[in-house]
This record gives sequence, C-alpha cells and structure tokens, in this order.
Amino acid sequence: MAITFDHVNYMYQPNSPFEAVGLSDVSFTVPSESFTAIIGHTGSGKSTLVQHLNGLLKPTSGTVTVDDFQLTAKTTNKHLKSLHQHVGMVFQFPENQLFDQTVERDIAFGPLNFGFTNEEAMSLAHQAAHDVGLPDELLKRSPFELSGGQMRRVAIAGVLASQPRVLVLDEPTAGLDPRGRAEMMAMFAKLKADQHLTVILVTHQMDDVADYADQALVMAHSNLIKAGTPAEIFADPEWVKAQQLALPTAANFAQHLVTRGFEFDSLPLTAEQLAIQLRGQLPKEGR
Amino acid sequence: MTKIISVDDLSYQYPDADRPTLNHISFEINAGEWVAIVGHNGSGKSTLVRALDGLIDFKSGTVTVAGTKLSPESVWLVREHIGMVFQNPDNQFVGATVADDVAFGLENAGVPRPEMQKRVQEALEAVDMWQFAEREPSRLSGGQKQRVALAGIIAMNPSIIVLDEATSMLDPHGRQTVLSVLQHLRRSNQAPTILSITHDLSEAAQAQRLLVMDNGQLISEGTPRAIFSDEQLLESTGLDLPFSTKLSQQLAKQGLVTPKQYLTDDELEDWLWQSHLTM
Amino acid sequence: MLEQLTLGRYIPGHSWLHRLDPRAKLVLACYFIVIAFLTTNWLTYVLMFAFIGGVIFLTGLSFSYFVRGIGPLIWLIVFTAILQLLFTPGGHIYWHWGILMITSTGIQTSTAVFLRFLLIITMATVLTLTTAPLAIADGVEALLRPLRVIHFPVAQTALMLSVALRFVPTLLDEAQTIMNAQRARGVEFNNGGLIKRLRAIVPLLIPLFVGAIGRADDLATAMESRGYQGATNRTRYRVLKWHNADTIAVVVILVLNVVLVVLRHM
Repeated sequence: MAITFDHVNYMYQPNSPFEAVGLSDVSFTVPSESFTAIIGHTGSGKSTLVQHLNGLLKPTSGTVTVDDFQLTAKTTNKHLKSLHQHVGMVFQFPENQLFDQTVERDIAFGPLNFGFTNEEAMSLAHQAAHDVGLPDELLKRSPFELSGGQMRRVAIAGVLASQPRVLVLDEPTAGLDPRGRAEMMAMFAKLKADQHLTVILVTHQMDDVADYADQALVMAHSNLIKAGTPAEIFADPEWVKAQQLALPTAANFAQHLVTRGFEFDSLPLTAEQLAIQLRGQLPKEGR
Repeated sequence: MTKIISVDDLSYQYPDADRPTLNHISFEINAGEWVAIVGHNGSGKSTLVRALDGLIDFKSGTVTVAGTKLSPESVWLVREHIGMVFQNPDNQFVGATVADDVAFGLENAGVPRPEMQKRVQEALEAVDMWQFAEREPSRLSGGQKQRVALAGIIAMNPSIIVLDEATSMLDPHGRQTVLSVLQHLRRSNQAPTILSITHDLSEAAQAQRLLVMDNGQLISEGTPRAIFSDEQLLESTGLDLPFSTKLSQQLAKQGLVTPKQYLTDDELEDWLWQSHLTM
Repeated sequence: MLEQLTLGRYIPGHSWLHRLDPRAKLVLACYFIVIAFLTTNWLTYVLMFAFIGGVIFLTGLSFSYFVRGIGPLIWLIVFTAILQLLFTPGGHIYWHWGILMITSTGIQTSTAVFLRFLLIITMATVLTLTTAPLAIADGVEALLRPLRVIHFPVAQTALMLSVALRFVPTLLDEAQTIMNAQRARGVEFNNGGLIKRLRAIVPLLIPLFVGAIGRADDLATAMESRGYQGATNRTRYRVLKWHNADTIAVVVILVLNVVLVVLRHM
C-alpha cells in the first residue's frame, strides 16, 4: 500500500495554554512495498507522524492517504476501523500491551476485534506465531511467564495476525541484546519479502537505516527536513552532524579514511560497500 | 592494588526458577578499576550486581565490599559504598523534581540542609543538569533522567558506581552524554570504581577489563582486546562483533589483505593507511 | 472533552498566587470553601463571586480559560441542582408528579447549590492551577504535622503522596500508549453499549496494572539502594518559607469572612 502525506499539520490541545505544534506542513510519499526509515531526535515529531498512519491521530489540516483511504480532520472514528486493520502498529516496548490469559488468545485478540470468526482468528494467530518464530508449545502458556524477547515476539505476532498491509515499527529492537536485535531485524526483512508488506521503521540505529531502508525521512522540530535514499541522507556528513545525528558505523569509518588519503565515489554505508570500494586501494591477499 | 570487591563462590536461584541464575561465581575488582560485565539478556548480569548491593538474599557464597563482608547486619554499610543506576530512567526517579531526586539519598543519610544544598548543586553541575534543578521528570528526556540518577549518586560520593544497563533504553545522543559524565568522573579526584553492565561494545571497550557471563556462569574474563579478538566467544554469548572485525571479514571476501590479529577500529584505520601506502 | 478539564492541572507561572506559600493557599482555599456555605442572599453571592473574580485575575490566566475549563463539570453541577429542585418539599408548590415536585424552597435551595458548587469548583481549580502537586503535598504535610503527637505517620504519608504524584504523568503516558496499541488492534473504547465498553477496558487495565507493579518493584529497589530505611532520622531538602504576602492572604480571607457575616443580615 502506498502512503501519501499532503501538507499535514497537527496541533496538540489547540486553544489551550498547553497548545503545541506536533507536525508542521509535512508532505511525502511512501511507495508500496518499500522500506522507509524515520529518523530524528526524541521529540522531533516522529511518534506524532506515525500515529497519523493509522488514524490514532487525525491531521488538524491536510490529508493522509493510505491506498484509497483518505484521513482528514473530518474523518469520523467509525471509518477508522479498516485503516486500523490495514496498518499494523508495533509500539515501543510492545510487550507492555499483553493482557490475555494465553499467548494464543492474546495474538488472536486483533483478528477477533476485526470481525474474524473464532476459528479464523485462532488459525491466523497460529500462523502469526509461526511467522515470528514462537514455538507451538508456548501458545497455551501465559504471556507473562515468557522471557522479555519472547513477550515482544508475542506482541508483534498480535499485530501481524490481523494481516496488515503496512507495518509500522517504533524502535522495535530497543532494549534487546545485539543478537536479539539482529534476529529481529532479519525477521522483519523476511516478513516484508514474504508478505509484500510496506514497512515503516522509526529508529535511532543508523546501521539499520543503512542495512534495510530504501528511503529515509529526517524529522526535526515537527518538520520533515530531508527525505531521500540513505545514500542521499548521509551523503553530507557535515549536515548530518549539524542535525546531531550519527553516521552509520561504516560511513563514519570511511570518513576517517578519507582524511588519510583514501577516495570513495560515494560514501559507503555498510562494511560490505566499504570493502568493495577499498578494492584497488589495498593490496590483494597473498601478494 | 587494593581489592574493593571480592565475590567468592556466589550462587543464587530465584524461588520459582528451575535452575540457578548465578552459578558458583568468583571474581575480584581492584579499587579504581572500570570493569564491564557483558552477556546476553537473561545471563544473570543484573542479578549479580544486585547481589553486591544486598538487594537479593543469596544463601551460598560470600561478597566482600571495601573490606566489609555483606550480611543482613552490614548491608546498610555496604550500600554506602555503592551507588547504583538502573535500566529504566522513569522507575528510579523518586523525587518530584530534579533537585528533590538528587537530594533523596542525602536526606536518607541525614545530611544537614545547608550541606545538602551545596552537594545537590555540585552534583547537578557535574552532570550538567543544574539549570534543570526545578524541572519535573515528565519534562526530561531519558538521557537527562539518567544523568540526574548519576547526580544522585555523585552527591553521595560512593567509592563504587554500578550501572545496571543504565544506557540501554537511551537514544545514541542520551547514551553519549551519560558516558561522557562517567569519563569525566574517572578523571576527577574521586575516580570511583565503575562496574557497568552493557551490551554496547563501544561502551565495553572503555572498560579496563570485561567479565563475560553466560547462563549464570562467569565464562571468561580479560581485557577488551582479548575478549573482542575471540569471535567465537562473542557470537556464542550473543554479542555483536566489533566493526573492525566485520570489516576485516568483508575485506577477506573481496580477496584483499587483512590484519593477522584483532585490531581496534583506530588501529585498523592505521593499518589500512599503511597498507594503502605500500601500493 | 477531558483534555479541556482544568481541575487538577498545574500551569507553571510566576503570578502573585503562584508565589504564595502552599500552606497559605491550602488554608485560603479550604476556608473559602467553608464560608461558601454561609451565603444566603444575593449580596453575599455578589461578594463571593467578586472575590473569586479577583482571585482569578491574580492567577494571570485568562477568564475564558477558566470558563472553558469548568465547562465539562457544569453538567455535573446542573444535575445536582436539578435533583435538589425536584426532591425538595416546602413552600409554595408550583408543580408535582408522583414524588417529584417543584417548590419555592426547592428553587431556592437548588439555586444555592448551583452557585455554591460553582464557587467551590472554581476555587479548587485556582488552587491546583497555581500550586505544583509537590507543593500541595508539602503543604498538606506541614498542616498535618501536629498529628505526629498521636503517632500518625506524617513523614511516610508525605513521601507516599509525593511519589504518587510524581508517577501520575508517567502512568497517564503509559495508559495512553496502551490505549493506542489496543485501538490499533481494533478495540473501540468509545463505542457500543455499557457491557462492550467495560470489556474494552480489560485490555487496558491489565497491562496498566502489570506495568505499575513492575514500576513499583523497580522503585522500591532503587529507594533501598539509595539508603531509604523508613522515615526515621531523615533530613529535608525542601522547606517551606512563610512570607508577608502569605500573612496578608490569610488576613484578606478573614476580612472576607467578617464582611460575609455582616452581609448575611442585610
């Protein structure tokens, strides 16, 4: 599903002393089945932006279009349900939303709310549990008995079970150890390919942006300040630094090499790209 | 060198667990040392540091902190030596404002008010948060809250600071600000012993020594260089490979020369430069 | 709707009222609420409303903000007043049906209930808008201090109150996040009949409780590691200072009381 933001503004608690700008004139397009990363500081408007993707917030002015669904200030809550189903949201620390007595029932909760029969919901739940790599023997257990990493997978399965076409991930790997992070990112990449999902990832991990994203949106002070491919975003290291953002590890390392007389056609973003670009600048093994 | 922490044959099993969380652990830490504990989630790191502070009631083994053997009678004395910063910035913020939170430990110790005011200000200045003294926690970022937690500990001037994954819930900027406070503290006159639990390799690299935990056991210890050069160990304990190792692997894939032993990122940069010059 | 509600909120500021000692403000607000019940004739109401108008002026906040902020509560007040109106016997009966009636006494009492309620809610709103929750907790502690004589745990109660207040915004944030997560999973919190709505609350309440218990556990550990051994032998960082302005405020409310009593008999 393609997504378009057209001059979207959002105001928190308008006409009160607590009034605050959430989004200011944000416009962009996310192509169907692409992987988009949203980066920026805490409080830059990233969370406000993603809450518009499935109508948890409605624009104060402007239009959000998801496939053929249009979300404006006038959209009534009744019409939001299909949007909720088609845009799955994995919030930060999603394990904090688990509540049901068994893993199976917690995962089936979404499908049941969206009107699937009990049988269908259970079958969807089992499929989703399988997709996130939860062993069958956990399905009848209480979600509160599981380890932190397993609980997070249950919560993610709970979102996938409703068969969303768009998957929004808000820092899905926060608090995991490095192996858990790598496994989870690989899982999202596989889900995206297998189920033809459009993925939107909010992250502080620039290496994930370099490794997975087709395009990135940079937010600052409620504004969208840059949009483009990761290569375009990180092409100007000075600008990146001025925004108090980091470079991917490989790009940062390459920057150091540039000062030592190495030359790169474009700034390499991953260790692999860097190694490829170092061909011809280093002796071959065994010489 | 004087030992400030000695742990001897420490074991602990949570009441409802089917296997021990800490399994015959022994190690020593010197005064003024910076030691990082690494290992995957659930390997027993947090339980271990909680045992040092008498926050879990272990039955087997001994813990000695600054010459005092930990026991129900000595626990408050031991806690005076140790300041702990925990993982979740929200859940350890006791005070209703920044200054109140920093003062909490001092209030507990019965420090007179004029002295308290002085120490609160000094501690907040040390973490660069004095201008936020009257702020409420809900209006602070995670990194700012963790710096306030550090200030609360600096104000008490303990000889040991324990960080229980204190940076794992922070964004990179927040993490950096907390780490630079620690580095600054290391250079100060107090120079406390630091014991930090972390997954972050760049954070672990700043320690003088690493303790590696897996499945409740201390499976390895050594300098960051020694641990980082052991790829198998890193992978089996769920840790990331250092960037220099990843790049060396990619260079080998391209058929290019690679260093014969583990190098830090800076060393690899030098090494690549030298190789480049020989072309 | 609830976003507009102002009772219980604090807006940081530096007005004369903001700077008053919380003890003075608590005494002032409580005293005002008590003497609100001394109102009898229109003169006393004019006096009290003029006074509260002056107090609102001193907050430095706009009148319209108060009007909109009290808006959501006006129906509660109207409802209470209507009950009074329909169930109070006495005086001239204008209308009756079964046990319901409208009488001259009923009109008088319901008007009184309406106006007094309005005075009380406005005053309570002024108190919370201009006094930080922590300051209110400090003020309550100071005013409760004499109860130590009867072994009432004043210091523990105060710490409990201040920690509770400290966690209110955190838990509200968490509730909002969980609600969003469950709405994204198809829960409709504001739709359907009573049973459906109550059922929708379960997926909110359980995670909220589980989270709060986890937080409490973490907090207890953190407090213990920072040397908290109960309230004995603790010193205090925050102390309250009584200024001349506070004495003036108390004198003003006493004068108001005297004038009110005089007007009652006019």
